[in-house]
Amino acid sequence: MVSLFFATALQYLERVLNDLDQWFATEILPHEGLLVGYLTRVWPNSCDVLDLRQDIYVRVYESARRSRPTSPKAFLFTTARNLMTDRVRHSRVVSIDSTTDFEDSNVFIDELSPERHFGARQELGRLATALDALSDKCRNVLWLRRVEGLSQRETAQRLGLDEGAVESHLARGVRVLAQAVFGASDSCERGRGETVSVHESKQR
Amino acid sequence: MGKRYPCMNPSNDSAEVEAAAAAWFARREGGAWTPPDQAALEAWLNAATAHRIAYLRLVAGWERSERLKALGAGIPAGTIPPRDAWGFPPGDSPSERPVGSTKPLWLTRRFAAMAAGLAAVTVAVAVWTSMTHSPVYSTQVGVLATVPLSDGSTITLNTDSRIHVNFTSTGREVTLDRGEAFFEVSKDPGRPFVVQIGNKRVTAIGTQFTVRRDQGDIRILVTEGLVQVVRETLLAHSSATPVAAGSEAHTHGDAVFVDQPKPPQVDELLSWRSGYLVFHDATLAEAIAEFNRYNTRKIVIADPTIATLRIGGRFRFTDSEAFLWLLKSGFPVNVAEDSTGVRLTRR
Repeated sequence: MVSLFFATALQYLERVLNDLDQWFATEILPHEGLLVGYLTRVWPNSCDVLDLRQDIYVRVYESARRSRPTSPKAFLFTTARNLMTDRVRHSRVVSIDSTTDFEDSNVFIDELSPERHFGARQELGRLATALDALSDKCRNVLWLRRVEGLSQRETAQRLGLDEGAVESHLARGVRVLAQAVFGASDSCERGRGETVSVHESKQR
Repeated sequence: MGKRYPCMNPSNDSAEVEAAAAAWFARREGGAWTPPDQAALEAWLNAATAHRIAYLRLVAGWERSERLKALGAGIPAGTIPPRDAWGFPPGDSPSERPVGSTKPLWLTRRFAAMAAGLAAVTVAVAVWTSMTHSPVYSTQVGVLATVPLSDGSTITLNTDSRIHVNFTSTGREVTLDRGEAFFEVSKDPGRPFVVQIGNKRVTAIGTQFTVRRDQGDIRILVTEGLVQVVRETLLAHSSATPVAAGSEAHTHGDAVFVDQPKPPQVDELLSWRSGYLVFHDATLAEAIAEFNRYNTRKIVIADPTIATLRIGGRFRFTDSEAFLWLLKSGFPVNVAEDSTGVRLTRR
């Protein structure tokens, strides 16, 4: 069953989001924390991690446009590894050492206790922490818009800001909240649960 | 693992795309959205898959962040609480909880009728303390019990029900093993009150609600405040459904349905706390099922043609005699009693 939450997301943006978007949001995005943790461990330049993430997402999305993989999580990590391999081949910037790092890396994926990553309470805790880390103005805007559900105009009046300022605070805030929801870093995914090996046969 | 390079240049390509997506999102949410804006957004989304994904990610994150509304439960509209007023472990801040958000304990409304009814039928509640000091409370068939908890909350257990209570400094968790319970939750934003029922959980901060468990499915009636119903799954998501005061939610498998019951139905759903069963246009089968929850001497409908008779009324659940007498005198029903139980047939 598609979660109720995504049903609302779709209703809300039915004009721009389609089935494939919904699939991506439910099957791929929830693994972001794990993916970014993996990239950070195996890729030598942390500067590239967000770009890698973007390119991996694009590959997964475009491949899924043709046919949806049966195991989205395994497909995501296989794509990640292939993309890194390609990057190393086409670049002289990355040292040779780094290749062995990620080619031999296994990612331990804990299928059995999603609660740890996605439990309502933990997620609310991450969101609250992210909210509290914002500047006063941005936090106030987010509270009124997201928690109290006020419109942009009402929020502007309440806080004595102009609407443009509310809009730019919201733009900053939504990035922080999305990061809190999907990008939760995961430092303890090893050693528990099911193990999924990411690497396929080595192709040199 | 090799050398690490710090990220000196955060304004890389993906960050720019995300910033652009966020600007679109905020504009779209702003209210002054026009068809040309929509066309421009669609053009931007279609220009590159990376655009589309960045936007989609923010929309999905925003929808998920609706959870934050739980923080507003019990806080008056227009009041923006100070930072770190939540007491979640990840915040890990030792700072004092601000006075503003914890002031008086939730003033629970008591029902005189309920108290009176309970006084009459409450028998000592069975309590064990397990090795882990997580107390277990249970009631036998036909018995109600009130359980006052250390945080000022009160749980009223219906017939044949059992709960585990596990309170820690960061959370208040109650497991409903079977049966039904009414919760009057003391407000404590730092320690959400969670009722776990199988793979579903109901989260509250300060509120009143009743939860009834029927195998895996649950039925919840909220009389005050707001609760969240969350289904935990083996997949990587769980959906949270908010249920506000005056609403009733029931689950069927993985689905959650929310209803606005009319006052008579609310009365029906809560009447047990005062020792009564109230029926409004219920079938005989439904009424008998209710009585059987409260009585060890079970009533059996031996003739299916009478199961759909419609009945109404208010009965003491310990007094099935009056109910059976009413059935005999007002309906074409024959009542045969023996040592094992009661059989109903058509007269």
